[in-house]
Amino acid sequence: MIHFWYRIKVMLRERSSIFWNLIFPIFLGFLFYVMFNNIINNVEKFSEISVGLVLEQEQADFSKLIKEVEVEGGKKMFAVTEYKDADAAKKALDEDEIYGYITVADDFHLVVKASNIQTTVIKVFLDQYIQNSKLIENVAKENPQQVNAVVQGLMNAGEIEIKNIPLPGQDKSPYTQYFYALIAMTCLIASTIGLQNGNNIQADLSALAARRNVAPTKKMKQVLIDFLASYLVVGIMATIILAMVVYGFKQDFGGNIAPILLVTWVGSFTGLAGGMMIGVCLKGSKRMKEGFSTAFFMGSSFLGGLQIVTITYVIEKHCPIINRINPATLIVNACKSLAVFGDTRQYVINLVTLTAIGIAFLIISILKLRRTKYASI
Amino acid sequence: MLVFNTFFRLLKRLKGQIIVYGVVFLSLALAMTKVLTTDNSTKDFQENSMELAVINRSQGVFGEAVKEYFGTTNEIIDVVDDESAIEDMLYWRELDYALIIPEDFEDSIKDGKITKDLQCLEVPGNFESSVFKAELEMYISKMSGLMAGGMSIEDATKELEKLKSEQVTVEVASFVNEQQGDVISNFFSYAPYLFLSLGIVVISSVLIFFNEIEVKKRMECSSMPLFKRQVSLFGAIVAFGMLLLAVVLVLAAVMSKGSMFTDVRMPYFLLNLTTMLLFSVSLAFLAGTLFDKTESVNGFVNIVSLALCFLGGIFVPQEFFSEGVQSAARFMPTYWYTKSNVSISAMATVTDAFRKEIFMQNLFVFSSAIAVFAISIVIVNLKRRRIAA
Amino acid sequence: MVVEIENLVKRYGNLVALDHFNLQIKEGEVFGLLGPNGSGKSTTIHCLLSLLEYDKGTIKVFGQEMKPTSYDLKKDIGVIMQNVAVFEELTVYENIDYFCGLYIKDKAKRKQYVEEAIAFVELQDYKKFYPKKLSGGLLRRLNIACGIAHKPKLIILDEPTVAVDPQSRNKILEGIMELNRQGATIIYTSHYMEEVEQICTKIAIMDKGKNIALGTKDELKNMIDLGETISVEILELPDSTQAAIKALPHVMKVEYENYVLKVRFSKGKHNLIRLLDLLKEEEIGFGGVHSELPTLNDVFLEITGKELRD
Repeated sequence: MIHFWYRIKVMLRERSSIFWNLIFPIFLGFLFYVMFNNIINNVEKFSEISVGLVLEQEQADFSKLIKEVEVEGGKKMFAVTEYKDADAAKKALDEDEIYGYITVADDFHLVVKASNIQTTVIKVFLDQYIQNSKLIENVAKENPQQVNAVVQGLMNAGEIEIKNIPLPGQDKSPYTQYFYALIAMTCLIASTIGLQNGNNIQADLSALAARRNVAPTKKMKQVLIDFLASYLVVGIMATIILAMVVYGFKQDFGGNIAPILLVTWVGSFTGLAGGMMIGVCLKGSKRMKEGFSTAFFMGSSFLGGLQIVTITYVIEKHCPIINRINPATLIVNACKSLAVFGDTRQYVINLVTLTAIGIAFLIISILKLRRTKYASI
Repeated sequence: MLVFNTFFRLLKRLKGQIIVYGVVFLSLALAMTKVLTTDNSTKDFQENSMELAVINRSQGVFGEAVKEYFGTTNEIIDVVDDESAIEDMLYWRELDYALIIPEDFEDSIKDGKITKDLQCLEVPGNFESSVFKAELEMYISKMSGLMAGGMSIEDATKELEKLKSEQVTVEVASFVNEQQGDVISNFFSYAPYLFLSLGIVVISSVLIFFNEIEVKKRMECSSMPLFKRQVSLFGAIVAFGMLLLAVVLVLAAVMSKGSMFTDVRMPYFLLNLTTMLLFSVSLAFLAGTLFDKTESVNGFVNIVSLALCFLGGIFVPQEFFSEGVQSAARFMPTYWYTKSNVSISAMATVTDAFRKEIFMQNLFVFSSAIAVFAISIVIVNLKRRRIAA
Repeated sequence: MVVEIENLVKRYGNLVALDHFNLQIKEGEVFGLLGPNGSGKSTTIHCLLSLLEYDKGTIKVFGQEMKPTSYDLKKDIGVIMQNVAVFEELTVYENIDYFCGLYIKDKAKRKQYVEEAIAFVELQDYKKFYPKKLSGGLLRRLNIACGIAHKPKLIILDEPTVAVDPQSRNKILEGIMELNRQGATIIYTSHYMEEVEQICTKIAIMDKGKNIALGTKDELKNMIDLGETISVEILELPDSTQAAIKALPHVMKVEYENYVLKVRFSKGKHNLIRLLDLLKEEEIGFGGVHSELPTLNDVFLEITGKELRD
């Protein structure tokens, strides 16, 4: 047992362990919180779309409508600026003051800079206005006695609802995925500690490891003790990070804290085993192994959506196998399946796959260590 | 030249590490570029497109009409009428929105009035879904209007299909470069992440060799003045930075299939990249001065590169920042780099205003590099005094 | 026999590090393995400890074949590596406790052994210090304590005094002698002949993976012809006098460099008196006179033609 506690002592006294497993994830979580808090809390970030208006012909109705149209929550849809001519409006567009400008003459003309969601909203609004006007115009021509009924019908249509069937999960925003990716990265950072465990038992890597190898305590026992001690520490650190995310950064994962905690511990196991496998199987300098370990958790985290949230969807289209085996993606999807979709089946699949990968890493490490004979020290 | 050459000799020792980091970060940058780059070969306006499913439980005209109406600007996906299967597709983002038309929808129409609600399943928090939902509601509103005027549902759908051609004419402004959002501007948008992560890790790892206490003491005893040593070292760092820049440019040339060489925007991209590189190199110098262990350097690199890139709008577009974040982000050189990159990307004609904008933004980045370098020199001198004491 | 090595062969690629190496160490001996850098000393130790695989030969410890899984043999072996092998993050006490714990399971016994080890290496004042804070000499003492805390019967020290100040070195050598007095068999490898001469009861000289000489220090010195080396400080030595010196009995070699006359004599008596009488006769003035008995370096030089410390 003493070696179990000594391994914990060594870990806790190592500044790099504390940094990687605690401070770095907290920092990143804080960064995400600061950046996305407004977006997440408002579900979707909607700010008024700035649009320019050049009235070459008087169109009081349209002018009033575009200035007053609202979205859900009472916020105005557009921030309208009137320009005296198209040149002034074009200059504003060039300088990114507006997303586009509408020239109102005999008909409507929209000038934009790019195809994006904001310019789509402007176009859709204009199309609806034009089509509604044309609709009433046609009815007035062909069936003038029905105009009132048509107008009434247009107004009554607001009573028809498109009811959203809520997904079983509670989480509604795509930006919480950044926090899932943060949890995934925290779990996989344990690979740096796993790497140390792998290095510290190989006699050809250090005098310390050589001393441990000549002792009468079996190598596998020492490896297992190191692994369990490290697992306890990284698991607790990951739990602290999760608590920070839930209570500090106010992400409740759709109220599924306990299952997410389980994912965190399983993820840490996989990260730790992965690092040990790198340390044991890779031949090279300490620096190179550290590079591989960093590449493992950063690369896996990237593919799980740490930097770009939509990467997993792109991967799903082109190479879905990566999503099925990448540890970070498995952790993210396990969180997402419960929090967003309330899908226990997917959660279990991800969890089981993650566990299997961790066990595979551990078995490979043990087999390699058992077979190791040193040609040179 | 001695210190300069030694830098590169030491660099050779780290070639394993450089290869690993190089492959990882370059792959990340290339992958991020691939994700972002859309086909902008057409100059025409493109409405936002989604993957839609229409589950027509009523088996009536309305469902087919919706598919036809919205199918021109969106992709209609065939799905099984099963909520779990649909949720699965939403989960994997094979589908963005599923409209469910209930069985008795058309039967419920009385006196031209729709009385039955529709249902939908969507990816939560998706802004594009909200826009589509609004379009759908407007479609239903027009249909209600027409049916209130005495039309049958079949005639109303035909009339709406005809009305679809009544659209505003959209012009994508002529000053916009048709290459906007192309592969090289997207790749260059990730260049800071590459410079910061790869540049700092490699350069400061070499500097750590120079900063070993015994080596430092030995160099202090030598006849080579400190200033000369520092200048040589900085020259070596800048030379490595230029190598990194060359790698980035070669990759960009390959990705753009050579079109980069005739691109009128290239001088501005190059200026932008160079100032960002100088800033990264100065940060690397600072890291090499501050730390004496590679673990510490790795920690510094990851914090600095991620923070600068997130706050600079490299991973998340700047338009999504809240006001508070925008204010803080303005102090980040990466913020101004991104702004410049976007402006250059969209540039078609060079105006004085454009030149001034790019110049000022790059001046900020360059000044940041000088400031960081100055701080490093101060730290070097403080450490020297500590050794001497 | 505590250690029996027969016909040991170890290759690193094309390089033969151990070339049919043989060794036998009796209980209670302080056995020195002496040789220049690259002679195969550390390789021998690593093979003996089953840290390295070898190509041919047998190794027995305490009469049993030594294997990586010979845990019952390992519990009686203590190792002090050439490089300091301690945890940077544990204190002096904790380090010794950790490594002792790999050998001794009983908590009370281990505690006692740890305290005794700390007292043995005189690190009582440094119990709570971290290795980073210790000087080179103290660190070496810690290294030793970690290797001997469990009171092994066989102690292997692989160049334990490298980069250590003279005071600490003496303490280490005294400590080793005390361990031997307490009953441990010692294997001591070094390229410092003075240390080996000082403490070893039996010495094997190695070169290029072979055992080139074996015996006590006197036995080794008797193997060579050299009797004594006399050095005399002389300002001017004519060639005729040099020739006369060469003609003296038992003279093996005469060298005159930098105002120092060095004459190597083979075994014989009154060499110094004869030399000084000759110089007086020739009216050659001289300063300091120094007589040196053969060293192990001389043994090595005569056998191999090169210095121990090349």
